[in-house]
Amino acid sequence: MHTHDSADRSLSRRAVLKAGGATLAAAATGPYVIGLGRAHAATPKRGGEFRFRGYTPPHFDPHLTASYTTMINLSFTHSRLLKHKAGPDVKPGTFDIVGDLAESWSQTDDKTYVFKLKKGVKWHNKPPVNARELTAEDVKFTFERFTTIKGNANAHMMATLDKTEVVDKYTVKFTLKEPDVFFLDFLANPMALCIVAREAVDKLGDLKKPEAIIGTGPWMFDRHEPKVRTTFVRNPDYFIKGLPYIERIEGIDFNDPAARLAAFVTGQIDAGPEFPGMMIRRQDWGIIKDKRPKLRYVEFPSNVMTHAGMRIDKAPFGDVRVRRALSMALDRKAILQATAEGVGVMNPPIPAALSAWSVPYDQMGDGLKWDQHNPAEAKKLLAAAGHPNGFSTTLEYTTYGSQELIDAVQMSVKFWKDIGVEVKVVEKPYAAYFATAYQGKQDAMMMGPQFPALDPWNFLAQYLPGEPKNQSHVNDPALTDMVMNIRRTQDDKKRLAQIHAAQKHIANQAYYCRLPSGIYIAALDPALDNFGANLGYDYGGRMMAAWWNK
Amino acid sequence: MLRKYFLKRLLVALPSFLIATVIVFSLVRLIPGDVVVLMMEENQYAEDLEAMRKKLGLDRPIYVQYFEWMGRAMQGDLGESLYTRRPVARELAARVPVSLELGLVAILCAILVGVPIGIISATRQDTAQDYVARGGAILGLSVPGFWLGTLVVVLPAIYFKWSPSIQFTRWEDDPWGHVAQFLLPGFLLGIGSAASIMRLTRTQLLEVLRQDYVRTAWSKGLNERLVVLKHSLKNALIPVVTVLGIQIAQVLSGTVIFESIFGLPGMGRFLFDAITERDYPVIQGINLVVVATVVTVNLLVDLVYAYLDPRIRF
Amino acid sequence: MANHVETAAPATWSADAPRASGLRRALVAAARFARQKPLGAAGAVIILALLLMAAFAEWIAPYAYDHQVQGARLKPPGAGHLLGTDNVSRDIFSRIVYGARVTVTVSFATVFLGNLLATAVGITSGYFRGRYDIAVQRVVDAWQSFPFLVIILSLLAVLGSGMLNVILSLSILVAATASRVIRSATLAVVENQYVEAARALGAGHGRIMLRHILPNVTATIVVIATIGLGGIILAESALSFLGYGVPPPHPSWGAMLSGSGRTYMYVAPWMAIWPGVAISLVVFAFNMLGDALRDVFDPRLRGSRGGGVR
Repeated sequence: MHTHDSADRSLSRRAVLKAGGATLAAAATGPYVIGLGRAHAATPKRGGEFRFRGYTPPHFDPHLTASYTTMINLSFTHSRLLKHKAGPDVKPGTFDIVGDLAESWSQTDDKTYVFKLKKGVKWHNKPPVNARELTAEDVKFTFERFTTIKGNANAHMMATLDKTEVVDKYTVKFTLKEPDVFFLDFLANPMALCIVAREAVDKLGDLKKPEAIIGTGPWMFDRHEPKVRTTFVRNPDYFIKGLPYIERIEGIDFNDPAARLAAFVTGQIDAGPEFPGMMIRRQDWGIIKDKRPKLRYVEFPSNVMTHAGMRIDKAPFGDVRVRRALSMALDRKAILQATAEGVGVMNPPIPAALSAWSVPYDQMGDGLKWDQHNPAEAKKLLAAAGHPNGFSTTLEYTTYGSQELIDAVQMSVKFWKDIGVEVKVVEKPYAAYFATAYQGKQDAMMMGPQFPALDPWNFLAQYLPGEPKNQSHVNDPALTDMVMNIRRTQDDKKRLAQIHAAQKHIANQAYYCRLPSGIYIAALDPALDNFGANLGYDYGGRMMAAWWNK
Repeated sequence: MLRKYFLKRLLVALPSFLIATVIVFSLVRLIPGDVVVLMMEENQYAEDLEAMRKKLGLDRPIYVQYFEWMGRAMQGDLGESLYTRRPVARELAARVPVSLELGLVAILCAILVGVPIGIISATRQDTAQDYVARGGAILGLSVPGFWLGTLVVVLPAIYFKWSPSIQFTRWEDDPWGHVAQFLLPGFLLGIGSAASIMRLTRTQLLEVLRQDYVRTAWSKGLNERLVVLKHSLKNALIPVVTVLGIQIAQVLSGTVIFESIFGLPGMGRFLFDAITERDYPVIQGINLVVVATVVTVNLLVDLVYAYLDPRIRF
Repeated sequence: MANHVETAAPATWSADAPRASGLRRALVAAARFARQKPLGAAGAVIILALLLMAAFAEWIAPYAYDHQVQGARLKPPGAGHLLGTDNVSRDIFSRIVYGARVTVTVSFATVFLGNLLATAVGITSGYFRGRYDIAVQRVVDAWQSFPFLVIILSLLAVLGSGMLNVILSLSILVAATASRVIRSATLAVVENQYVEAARALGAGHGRIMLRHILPNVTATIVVIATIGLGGIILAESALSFLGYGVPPPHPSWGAMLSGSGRTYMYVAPWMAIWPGVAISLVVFAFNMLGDALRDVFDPRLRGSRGGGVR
C-alpha cells in the first residue's frame, strides 16, 4: 500500500512518505519551493514575456488527437491529477510523479486508487465555466469522456480502467479491471488526461475551438492566430498562490528551420527553437555560441529512438540469424557521426534517455553482440540461414521532413547492401506511413522514429501480439509473459529487474535494429531563473515556477 | 467601344475560368481510393468510409457535385477544412490579403527595377552596361528563389545580428511594421519577374528605337532624345503591361516559398500546409480563389492594354 | 490578352545553303553561331558538359554517389575531394556528377513529353481552326491560369510524389504554354501558298501537318524547349525544397541544395554552394542558348514574353 502527497520530494519513483499538513501548507503558499527541499537563492520577480517556438494544432481537444501540437499548448492552460516534477534540480530524463490537482492519493488494493483533490481550485474565469470550483465530478466527466469518445488515439492508456466514482466533492475512486502498475504514469502523461470542464463541451459540442481552452492551469488562453502564434496570459487565480511569475507566454509558429535559427540568434525568441522544446541543433551550436555567448546550455539524451522493423511472420525475417545479421551490418557509430555530429547514446530496447528503466547498455548481455558493426560475421550468419548471396527486400518510411532521418535510412541501406541485402526504399507520405508501416502493415521492413514516450510500458507493450505498434509482428510467448507480468508486479525493485530482463531478451532476439539517439542541447536565456529543461510536452509544467531575472 | 471590348474579353475569359474550375474540382476525384481510407483512418477526418466519401463529396455523381460545389462557391461557401473543421472561406479571407500584399510589392519591385534597367540597356545597346544588365537579369532568373530567401534570412543574422522579423505583424498592431515586413520578401519574389520585364522592355524599346524617324530625332541631340524617349516608351511599354498578366501567376506561385521562409500567413503557405495534411477542401478552395484572381487580373490588364493601345479595340 | 501578335514563319535559314557535306556544314554553322552569339555558344558548351556528366558519370566521378569515405566528413574543398565532402562523408563532386543524371532525366523527359503534347495540340489547333481551335484554346487558357507551383503541388498531393509523377505534372504545364507558341507558328505557316497547293493536290490533313507544317515549326519548338528546360530545373529544385522533389538515393541538385545543404549552411557552406552553382549555371546556359537560338531562327520571336505568345 502506498500513500503520496503533493510535496513528494524524493528521487525514487515511489516512496512511502509521511503525510503531513505542514508540508502541504508550505507548498501552497509563498515562492514555490521545488527540488530537494533547498530554497532557491534569488527572489522571484513577477512579469515579463516568454517567447518560444510554438505549434499550431489541428484543434484543441485533448481527447480527439494525440498530437504534440495540441498537448504542448494545453500544458500551459490545463492541469492533470498527477504530473512530473519539474525544476532546475530535476535530472532530465527522470519523471518523478507529484500531485497536480491531487492533494494526495493512495492505492487501497491492487486495482483501486483513491485520489483526494486540492480544495479551492478554480477554473479559468471564462464563459461558460466562469471560475467555479473544480470538483470530483469534473474528474469523473473527463475520464468518462476520455474512455467513451470515438476517435481517441490515446484511449488505450485507460484500457484497464473499469470505473471512475465520485466518493465526495473532493474524492475520486478509480477501479481497474486488472492490476496496472503504470496507471499513475498514464495519469501524469502530458496532457492526455488533463481535466476538462463539462460546460465547455455542452456549449460548444467539443473542445476543438480555441474558445474551449478552459482549464485550471497557470496560464489562460489569450489569442490564437493559426500558423502565426498562440498567446497565453497569467492566471491570477491559480491554485498555487503567487504562481506563475511570467506574465505572458507566446508560442510563435515557425515553419522554416533557417528562419527559426535566425530568429533565435537575433534574440527574437527566448529559447532554442527545435523540438521537443528549447533545443538547438548541434551543427548550429558554434554559430549560436558566437552570436549569443551568454546562453545557458543543458545536454541530455533524446528519447526519440529510430529503429528498423521487419515482418517476423514472413520469410526471411523469421530466422533470428537473419535479424542478427541485419543488425550487425549497421555501423551505428558512423550513423551517429553523420546525423548527430557523433554525439549520442546507444539504445537498448527502452531508449537510454529513460535512465530510470533503460537497462545500462553494457549490461545488455548476449544482445550486445548483435549491435556491433561486423559485416563479415553478418555475412556468415546469412549464409548459415540459407542466404549466402543475400536477398532482396523493401523498406517503407516517411521522411518526417528530417534530413537526419533520410541520411540514416540511406546509410543503413548502404550497410545492408554491403552484406548482400538489396533494400529497395519506398518513401511514403506522412499519413500513409502512419496508417500502414507505423502500425506494422508494411510489406517487409519499415524504419522510423518511435513515439517519444516517458514511460516504459509504451516501449514494452509493442512486443505484445496484436498491438498496433508491433511493427515487427513479434509473437514470443515467453516475452509476452514477461511483459504482462511487469504490468502486475507491484514491487518497484522486482519490476525494474523484470524490465531489464525483458530488454535483454528482446535485444538478443534482434527483433528490431535499434539506432542510437543523439543528445539534445537545450539552450536558454540565462536570465530565465528556476527553470529546468526536460523531455516531454509539459512546457507549462516546467515554466510554471520560472521567472525572469531582469 | 471599350465596353464592347471588355464584354468580348469577358466572353473569352469566362469559359476558361469555368474549365479551370472543372480542373480544380476534379482534383478531388483523382484521389486514389486507399488515400480516402487513410484520411478516414489516420487523419481521422471521418468516422467511417461512408462518412469520409460523403465529406469529400464522392458519394454522388460528379456533375451533381460539381454544380452544387460551384453554386455554394458563388455564395462564398467553400466548404469546411477537414483538418480544423472551420469554414474554408473564412480562413482564406484572413490569408488572401497577405498574399496579395506580397504579390503587389513583388510586381511593383519588378516594374520599378525592370523597366529602368531595360531602358538603360536598350539605350546603351551592346555596351558594357547592356551586358551587365542582361547578365544580371539572366542570373536573377537562374537562382532558385528559396535559396535567395534563405541567404537573406540567414546571412544578416550571422554577420549583423539582424534578421527580418519572423513574427507576423498585423496592420492593426503596427501599420508601418506590417508594410515593412513585405518589402524584403516582395523584392526577392519580384526579382524573377523584374528580369523578364527588363528583357521585354529592352527588346520592345529597341524595336521602336530602330525606326527611321526615331533615329533621326535621336541624332539631333539630348533634348530631342528626351522627347523621343518619352514617345517611344509609351509605345514600347504597352506590351509590357500584358506581361504583368502572366507574371501574376508566377508571383502567386512564388508566394508558396517566400511565405514559408519569411513566416507570412498567406495563401501560399496555407496551400502548402493543406497539402501536407491532405485537406482537400482547402486545396480546392485555394485553387479556386487563385484562378479567379489570375483571371480577374488578366481581364483588368486586357482593359488597360486596350485603353493604352487603341488599335486593339477597333 | 492580346491575341493579335503573331509570329511570321520562322526563317528556314538552311534551306538555300550549298550542298556541302553534312558534318562540314554543321561545323561551319556552329562556328558562325559561336562568333555571332558568344553567350549562346557558352551555354551550349555548358549543356554539352552536363550531358557528358550525365552519360558518363561512372567514369567521371571518383566515387559512387553513396560511398562513405572513411574519415572524410565535412571536409572543405581541397586535397582528394575537389568540392569537399558532406555530413555523411560522401564526395560532393561525385554527387554533383551523378546529380546531373537526375537533372537531365527530369528536365529532358518533361520537356520532351510536354512538347510532344504541345505539338500535337498546337499544330492541330492552328491547322483546323474553327470550334475545335476555340475549345482547345479555352482549355489551354484554363491551365495557364494556375500558378505552376499551386497546380503542381495540388496534383502531387493527389497523385503522390516521386520522379514519374513530377515529370507528368510538369509536362502538362509545359504543354499548355508551349502549345500556344506552336499554334501561332502553325498559323503563320498555314497561310503559305504551298500548303494550299498541297491541299489542292489532294494531300490528306495528316500528310500536310507532318510533311509541311511540322518541319517549319521545328525551329520554334527547339527554341521554347531549350528555354523551358531551364524553368523545369528551377521548378524541380523548388519542389525539392518543399519536400516533393525526386526522392533519394539518387542525388538531385535541388535536394542537395534544399536539404542537408541548408542544414549545414553555417558549418559547411560548400555543401550548398556547389549544387546551387550547378543549378544556376545550367539554367543560365539553357536560357542563353535558347535566347541565341531564338535570335538566329526568327528575330521576330524576340518580342515574345518569355515563351508565351498568344
